[in-house]
Amino acid sequence: MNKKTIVFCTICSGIAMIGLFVAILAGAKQIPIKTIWDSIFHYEDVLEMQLVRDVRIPRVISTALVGGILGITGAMMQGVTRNPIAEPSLMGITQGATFSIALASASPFLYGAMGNTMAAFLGAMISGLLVLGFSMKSARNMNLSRLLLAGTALSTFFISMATILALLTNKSQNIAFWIAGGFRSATWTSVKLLFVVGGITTIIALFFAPKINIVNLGEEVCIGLGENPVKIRMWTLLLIIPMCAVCVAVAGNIAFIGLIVPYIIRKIVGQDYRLIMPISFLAGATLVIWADVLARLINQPYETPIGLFTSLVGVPLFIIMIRKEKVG
Amino acid sequence: MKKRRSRSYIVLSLVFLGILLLALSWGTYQISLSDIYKTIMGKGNLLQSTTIWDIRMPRIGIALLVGICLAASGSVLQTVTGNELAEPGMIGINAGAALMVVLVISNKTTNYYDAIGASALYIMPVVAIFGACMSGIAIYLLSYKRGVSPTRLILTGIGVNVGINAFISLYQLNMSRGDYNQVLTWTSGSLWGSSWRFFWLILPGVMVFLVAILHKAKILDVLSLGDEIATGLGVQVEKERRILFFFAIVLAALATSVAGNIAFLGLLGPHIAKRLVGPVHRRQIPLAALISSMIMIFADTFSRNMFSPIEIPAGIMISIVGVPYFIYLMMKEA
Amino acid sequence: MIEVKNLDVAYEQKYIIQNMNLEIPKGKITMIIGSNGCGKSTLLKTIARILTPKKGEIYLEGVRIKEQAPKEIAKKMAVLPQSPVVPAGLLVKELVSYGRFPYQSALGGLKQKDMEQVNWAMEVTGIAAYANHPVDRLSGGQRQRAWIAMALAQETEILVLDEPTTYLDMAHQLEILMLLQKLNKEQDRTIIMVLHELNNATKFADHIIGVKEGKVVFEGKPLDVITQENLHQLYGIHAKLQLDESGTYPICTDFSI
Repeated sequence: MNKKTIVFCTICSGIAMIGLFVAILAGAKQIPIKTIWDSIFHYEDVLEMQLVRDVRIPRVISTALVGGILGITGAMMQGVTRNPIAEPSLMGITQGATFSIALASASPFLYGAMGNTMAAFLGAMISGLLVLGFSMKSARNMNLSRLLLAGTALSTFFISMATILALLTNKSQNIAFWIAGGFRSATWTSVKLLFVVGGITTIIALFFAPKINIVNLGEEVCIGLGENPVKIRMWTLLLIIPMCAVCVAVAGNIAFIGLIVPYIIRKIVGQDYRLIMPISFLAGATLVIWADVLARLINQPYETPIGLFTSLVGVPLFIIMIRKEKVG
Repeated sequence: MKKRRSRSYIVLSLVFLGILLLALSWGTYQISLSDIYKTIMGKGNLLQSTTIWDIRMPRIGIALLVGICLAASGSVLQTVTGNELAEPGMIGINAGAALMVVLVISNKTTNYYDAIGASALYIMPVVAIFGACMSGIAIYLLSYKRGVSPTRLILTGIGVNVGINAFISLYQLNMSRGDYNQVLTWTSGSLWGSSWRFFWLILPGVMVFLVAILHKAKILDVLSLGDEIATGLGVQVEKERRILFFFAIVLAALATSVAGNIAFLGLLGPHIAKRLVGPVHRRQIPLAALISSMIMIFADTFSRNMFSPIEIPAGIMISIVGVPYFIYLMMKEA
Repeated sequence: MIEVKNLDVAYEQKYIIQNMNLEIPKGKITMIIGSNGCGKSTLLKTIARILTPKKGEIYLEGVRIKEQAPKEIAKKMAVLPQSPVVPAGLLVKELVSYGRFPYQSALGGLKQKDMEQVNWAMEVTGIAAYANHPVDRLSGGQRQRAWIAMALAQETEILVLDEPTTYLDMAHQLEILMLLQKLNKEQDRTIIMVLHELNNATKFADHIIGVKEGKVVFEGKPLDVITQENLHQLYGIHAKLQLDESGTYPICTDFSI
């Protein structure tokens, strides 16, 4: 680790910590610091403490975890596809979750059994398997524009199905909420889900970093070093699916985190995924914590969809990266 | 080869006729084939002739024009971007049109879906064309760097598409339910403006630009061999690409202005046509137009009646059929 | 025939060719050789108008290229890039007929003269039997012939080819080069190409141009310019050379670094 990396990590952690505090303090209702202290250590059943304990704290933990996981998945995907523009949110996984929520809420039986979060998780898992399974089949000779067009096509498909269901059950406007996502509904259940599913997969993913390094060198080199690139790619993508799914289930579509974060991190730490991945987690968490604070504060007491902020940064960056890429 | 081609033309014409009859007869008010014949000959009763001439015919007419527009637009985009999966609905052009419409609707929250004034009806197409052109120009300029590379054009389009959709969803969140449903018909594509007025409104534009594109059919053929060969054959690639891209945008905009954002129609027609008559544009584009029109008319009839009285946007039906086909194409080629 | 004067070509800020001057003789086969990234393909692309030079001029029959209408140049010079792609399902005869583009009006079909040229081009290249086959189903060698037929249908005095033998096996390489030689001998066409294979270049070229770092290192008849010193300068190799049996062109039998 060079000095630049250490400085970056320190600053990033600092900003993240401040973000955590601000996120708990600020909002439609400002809360004094003492109340926060009390609600953690001397809990009483008053509104403010309930707000801190059951709304703000799970929410801020969720933002941090989701941001971190999204950052790391972006890095992984770019590593194994050897393409700096690859991004999970452009692949149609989120929209699969939306469809699954529509399906669950259309049938009272399913809804009662699962609730939105679980439905989204399952939907994202299934669509993720579909998307990645098929994009991976030929990820080697498939160029980027095809991969992204496939993602766009699948998104359209899932949204179409969801729209039909919503129209038939007279819930059309709900689709917009499902698509926009956000941390509005984050609870301790979300935190648990993130910890269990996200935590385990993230740790496994970190152990995968050396292998991703090798795949990143190219197919031939990888085989030459005695590793099977197809296998590594497959396992990496299989890991990405539950990671994305759990994020989508908690927060809906937060696009471009997986693009923005690793892009910056690579500039600072270079090409070693053993560093890129954990630092992407840290930076992703920081970014999403603050994005959520902004989303809550900018148009109080209403929430602005957080995905809009990330797209606002992400789309221009995406286009800049395309312009830099040597294509065609 | 020739034989196969003429067989395709005959079969397709028959299918087209069949779909036409289905579209005329199927509906809340069923009309039998013999009654259709009588009505067309001017001998039907009042209800029948109103249904056919004032309700179903204009709808079919508009579906026909939309199919023509999107098929031509898709064929051109596929050649110009050198990517056989390019399509106006996926690279942000239709989304640009939808965004402008959404902005207009959300600024006039009092007008509900079935209560828009006549003036607003005429404003929509203009607004949609403006929006499509804006996003088309944005895509072109953003991908311009010493000339426009086809791949860059596509990737930029995908980015712009995502950006615009993020914006649309922001507006959708803050809308009243009536507005929301109106916007939904735009963002997912539906033949809402189905009267002769709209048919006549876009017909001249469609004809002019279709002829303009057919006039460039040979240039399209040569462009499909790649920029270098086209240059060698004396085509001013950058200039022609710009002109053709503009034609494609305008045609997509015309379609979007009466039918909203219909994805995949610009993909299905051209691809099936290419299969049947080969990648030569003067044959491919007219046949693609026929096929896309057929699909559009059928999808519209189907989505009007399948879940009656609820009308599903036709664009959604097309996506559900279109995506699996799209994926099949990708799997086959990769 | 073709003259290059004070030519500068650059991608972005990186200069590939600087201040290049050369002449390509009429009615001869000219081969451009050099190591990877030396600017030989760039030179060819600039001559073919695919790249625009930063500075300098290219003259075609004494007239500046940029002062001539694109379609007029297309009637004088046909260009075949390296490994071009063909749209799936396009028939050989359709591809070849695209070579008539510079002669056609926007809406008119193929005229008698066009048909004759197309058929002749397919005959000469030996692919007439495949006229109704889709190009993408042909073998590599046949496909390359189809492309050459297209260039021939363009009815030009000059043929510009960028590595026409890449991805072909030895027999097919020879076949293509012999076809080009025949066109040159029988019809007096000027042929310019970039070639990687040194021995093929010396065997078929009338005129060889060696390019290194965007500059012309040597040019002339193979017998005169393919020398140990020149090859060392061009590729950095120590080559063993000997003449072929008839004594008309040099062969590189072995080399070391």
